[in-house]
Amino acid sequence: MYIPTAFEEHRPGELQRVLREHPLGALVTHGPNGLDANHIPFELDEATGPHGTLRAHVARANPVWREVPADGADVLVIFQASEAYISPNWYPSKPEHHRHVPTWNYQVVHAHGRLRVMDDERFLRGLVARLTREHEQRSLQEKPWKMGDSAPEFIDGLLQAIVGIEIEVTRLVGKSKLGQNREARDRLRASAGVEALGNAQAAEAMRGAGEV
Amino acid sequence: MYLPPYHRLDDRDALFSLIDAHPLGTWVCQSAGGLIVNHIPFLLDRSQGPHGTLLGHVARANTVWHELHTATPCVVAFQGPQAYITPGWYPGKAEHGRVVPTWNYTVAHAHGVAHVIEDRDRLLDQLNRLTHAHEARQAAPWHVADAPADFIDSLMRAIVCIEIPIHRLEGKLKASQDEAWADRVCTVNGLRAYPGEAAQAMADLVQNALDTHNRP
Repeated sequence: MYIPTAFEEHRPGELQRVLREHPLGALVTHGPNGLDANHIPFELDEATGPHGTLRAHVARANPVWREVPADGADVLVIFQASEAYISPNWYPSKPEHHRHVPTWNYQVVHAHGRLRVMDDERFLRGLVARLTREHEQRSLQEKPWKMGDSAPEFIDGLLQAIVGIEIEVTRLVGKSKLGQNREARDRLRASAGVEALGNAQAAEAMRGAGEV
Repeated sequence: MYLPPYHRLDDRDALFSLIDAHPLGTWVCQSAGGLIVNHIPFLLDRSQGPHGTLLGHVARANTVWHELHTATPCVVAFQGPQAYITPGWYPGKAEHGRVVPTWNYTVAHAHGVAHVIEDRDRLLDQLNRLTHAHEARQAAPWHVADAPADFIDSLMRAIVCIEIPIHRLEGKLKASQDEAWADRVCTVNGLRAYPGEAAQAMADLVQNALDTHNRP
């Protein structure tokens, strides 16, 4: 990924925030049918491994896990946070010199690591319980749903139909292109413009981009 | 991409609309040296080639365009709305308890081979069209010609035009089509009550899938 110095994201807290708040990752593989990507919600375990560990599950019917050799495979998972088109109309400095053009702001994290298949019911049971707890909490449910609310034999059957994957992260590459290379007044007014179009997430990311 | 039949999105107009609405593509190239990934806003030209062509540009300083050869396959993933779906919304939760959470999302994958186009007129035409498409929501749309010509010239020298004729288009719409009818209706209501643009867009997709197909 091309990353001008101004857009390099090295802050561990920010890299982890992107992974936690935008957990639907694109698992990129190059299998027998060529380049492919599967879109999967991941759990980030920050405490395991030097750069954390990602865990997820796929349908047993999804061929992606059968293509992984017994000793694992090097993979890439792409996480995309907020993004927005930026109009030069929003920059207060535009009328002064008109030397502005449109751009696109976005934040992404590329997680590189070693994928291992975890065809293991205990692994899966723990994973889906933690994923459920996290997302019931994040989606502000009044009465969070729990695995125990479901019929046990139903859960047993579903666990047979999925396979776990675990990725020990070896490298996190982050890009935060949020207007931090511009005058603060231009960045903040562009943030307000983005917000007025209904994209509160991108607006918030741009507002915060000056606070390094 | 794993595509159960009920989540397959084959409708080309729907896929084209998804690309138009979410044009920031994740562009993955399989080069001799490994995977190269860049995030690029693409413009879809429906009229160029049998499956349309993606038009974009990259900074000349981005080495990706040196790595593109006729045998370099690539895929561009365009991601639409997504949302966590809690079974707490499902009437089926109280009735039989045979429910679990899931994640809804929709994506388009455009496969092809990328070409580097060193042609100033085509690049300028692309920039004008990109600007026109994205400035449509502005009260007074900005035009490329609003900036000084020497400034635009210098910026154009710093970028390279990329075109990807689409060879194969694959789409997935995971919008609760495999859930019970009443659970789907209540998923729409649950998403409607949830804040944020993405939840509302996903509510529209779940409702649209109810309206158009899979009626029991």
